[in-house]
Amino acid sequence: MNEAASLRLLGVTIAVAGKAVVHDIDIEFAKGELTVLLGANGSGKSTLLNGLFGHPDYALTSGEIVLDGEDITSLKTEEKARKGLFLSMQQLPEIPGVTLTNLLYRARIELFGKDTETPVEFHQRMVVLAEQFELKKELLLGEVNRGISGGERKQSELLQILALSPRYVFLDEIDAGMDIDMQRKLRHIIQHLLGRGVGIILISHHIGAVKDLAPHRVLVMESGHIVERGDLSLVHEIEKNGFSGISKNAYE
Amino acid sequence: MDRPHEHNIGLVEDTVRQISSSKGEPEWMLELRLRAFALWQETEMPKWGPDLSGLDLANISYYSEPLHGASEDWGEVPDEIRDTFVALGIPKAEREYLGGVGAQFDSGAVYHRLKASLEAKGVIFEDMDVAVKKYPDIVRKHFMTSCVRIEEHKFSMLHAACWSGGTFIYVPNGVAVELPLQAYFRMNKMRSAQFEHTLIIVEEAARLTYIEGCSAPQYVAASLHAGCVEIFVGKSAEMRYISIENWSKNTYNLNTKKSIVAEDGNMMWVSGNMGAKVSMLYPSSILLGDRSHSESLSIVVGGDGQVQDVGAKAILLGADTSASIISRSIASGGSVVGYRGLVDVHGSARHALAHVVCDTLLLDGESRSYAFPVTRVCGSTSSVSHEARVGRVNDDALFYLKHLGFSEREAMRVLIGGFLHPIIKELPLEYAVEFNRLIDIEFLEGESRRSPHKALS
Repeated sequence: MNEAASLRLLGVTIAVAGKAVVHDIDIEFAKGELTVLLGANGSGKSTLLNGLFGHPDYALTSGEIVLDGEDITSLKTEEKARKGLFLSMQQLPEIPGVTLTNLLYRARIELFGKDTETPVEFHQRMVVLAEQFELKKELLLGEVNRGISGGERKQSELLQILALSPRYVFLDEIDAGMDIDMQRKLRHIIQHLLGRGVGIILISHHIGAVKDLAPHRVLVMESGHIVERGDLSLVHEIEKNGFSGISKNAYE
Repeated sequence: MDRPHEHNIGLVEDTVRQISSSKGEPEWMLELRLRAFALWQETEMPKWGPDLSGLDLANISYYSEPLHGASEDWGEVPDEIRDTFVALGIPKAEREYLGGVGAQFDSGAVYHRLKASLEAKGVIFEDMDVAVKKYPDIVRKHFMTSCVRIEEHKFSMLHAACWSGGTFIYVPNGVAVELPLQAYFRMNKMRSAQFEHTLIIVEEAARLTYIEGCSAPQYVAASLHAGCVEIFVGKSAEMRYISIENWSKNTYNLNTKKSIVAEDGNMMWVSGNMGAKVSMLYPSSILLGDRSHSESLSIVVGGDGQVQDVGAKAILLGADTSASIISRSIASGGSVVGYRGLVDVHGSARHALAHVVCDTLLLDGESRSYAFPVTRVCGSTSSVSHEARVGRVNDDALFYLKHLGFSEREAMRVLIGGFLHPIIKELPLEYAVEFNRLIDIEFLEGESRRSPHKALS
C-alpha cells in the first residue's frame, strides 16, 4: 500500500467516560478499496468511528490518525470533514426547518469554499444524481432526518455522500434494515464510489451483503480490539462458524 | 442641524397641552389626551409581569417638537436624519419593493410618501399627526375608542396622553395594495420616550401588507417606547402586519397592538422582537365576525440579561372563527424569555378553533424560559389546543453538522435558522435577510456583539 495515499490509524485508543473501551487499533485504509469491519454487538466498532471523528462523548486518548502522511489526530470534527472524511452514523438527529438541499449546499461551501453553482443549479444536479442512483429525490426538499422512515434516512445519507464527494467514507451499519432493492442500490453506490477512488470502511452485520461486495480487507473486532484480519475467506469462515468460532483473543 | 425643542422632563398636564397645541390639534383630541392623562395619574403601575422599577417615568422627556415637518422628498430631509435612514436602508427599500414609506425620528414624521397609483385608488397613507386634522371624522371614530381603549392599562393611558406621530392608513373597499407599505420609527434621543400611533382601516374585501421597523441607538439612560397599533379588518378583508423591533438594550418596550376582525376577515401578525431591556408585547385579535381568522407568528430573541415577556391574544366571538398562535423564542446571555398569552373563546363562538404552539430554544445554562398561557372556553363546541416545548441545543445535532464540515458557529447558525424558519418564511425576502443578519449579530458575532445600529448613534 502506498502510505502517502492512505488513511492510517496507529495505536488508536478511545475512551468513554474516562474508561478506555477501544484499544490500540492499527488499520490502514487505501483509496478505492473496501474495508469491512465486523464484530458482535458491543465489540467497539461504532465507538471507534465516533472517537475518530471527535464526538464529544468519545475521547481519542492515544494513537494517531494519519491521512496521506499528515497527522490529523488533533483536528476538529469539521476540519476532518474538510480533509475528506465522512461518517455515516447510525443515529441521525433531526434538523428542523432546514431542507436537505439547503444543508448540503451550505456544507459544500464549508468544505470547498464559495460554490460557483447557485442553490437551484445544485438542487437540479442532486435530482439527477438521485435519479441515477434510484434514490428518493423528494428527500432533497424535505427537512433533514425529519418525518421520514429509517430506510429513507439511509437514502438521505447516501445523497449526502454523493453531494459532498468525500475521500474516505465510514458507513456504520448503513445496510441495517434495508430491503433487498435498497441493498442493491447501496451496492451500486459503493461500487461507483470505489471506482472513483473513494476509500470505504463498512461496518455491517449483514454477512451475505458483505460477501457480495467482495471487500479488499476484512477486520474483526471483539472487546475493543482487532482480533482478526483477512480477506473474503474470513467472511466465509464467520458465516460458517460465527464470531465465537473465529475469535482467537489475539490481544490476550 | 437645529436641535428640536424638548419639552420639560417629566409629565404634567401642561406638557400634554403643549404637545396638543404645538401640533395645532382639534379640541376633541386635546380632550382625549387630558382624559387619558387624568386616568394615568390615578392608575398604579402594573403588578404583574416583568420588573419595571428601572423605568424612571419622572426623568423622561415625553416629547421633542420637530423643527421640520414630514417631506415627500428625501432631499429635503435634514442631512443628519436622512443619513440615519439611508444607513437603515429605507430609501433603497422604497425604490425597490415598497408601495409607500413613512419615517419618524423621535416624536415627529420626517418623510411620508405613497405611490401615485395607490393614491389614485383612494388609498390613504399619512403621518398620524396630519391625519387627525385632514381626516377628522374617520380618525375620531376609530382613535382609541373600540379597538385599543384608553383605559386598557397604565401605558395605553400614557400613550393616549402623549402620542405623537405614527401612521394612518385607509384602504377602500375592494382595493388590494400589492406592494407593502412601510413605516420606520427611530428613537434617537437619550432618556426619551416614543409614542407613535398606528391606525389602519382595511375596508371590505381590501388587502394590505404593512411593515413596521423600529430601532434606537444605545444610551446609558433608559428610554421608553409605548407605541400603539389599532387595526380594523373589514368583511372578507386581508391584513398582514409585520414588525421588526430592534430596540437598544436599555429601552423599555411596552407596546399595545390590537385588531378587530369582521366576518370572513383575515388578520396576520408577524413579529420579530429583538433588543430592549424589558419587552411587554401581546398583539391581540378580536375575532368579531363569523368565520374570521387570525394568525400570530412571533420570534422573540433574548440576550444579555434582557427580559422578553411577549405573547399573543385571541378573543373569539363570532361563530366558526379560528385563531393560531405560534411563538418561537431563543434565549441566551442569561436572558429571561417568556410567553404570555390568552385564548378566550366566548359562548357565541360556536365551532371555534384555536391552536397555540410556543417553543423555546435555550442557548446556554443561565438563560430561562417560562410560559403563562391562559385559555378560557365558554361552551362545548370549540376545539382549543396548546403545545409548549423548551429545549437546548442538541449536542448530537451539533456533532452531526460538524461532521458535514460546519464549524461550531456555522452549525449554530443552521440550527437557529431552522428553528426560526416557520416564522421567517412569512417575512418578505428582504426582511428575512435583514432579520437573519440581526440574529447573527446577536448570537454569533461573539466579541463584536453590539447594537446593530450603534454605529449610527
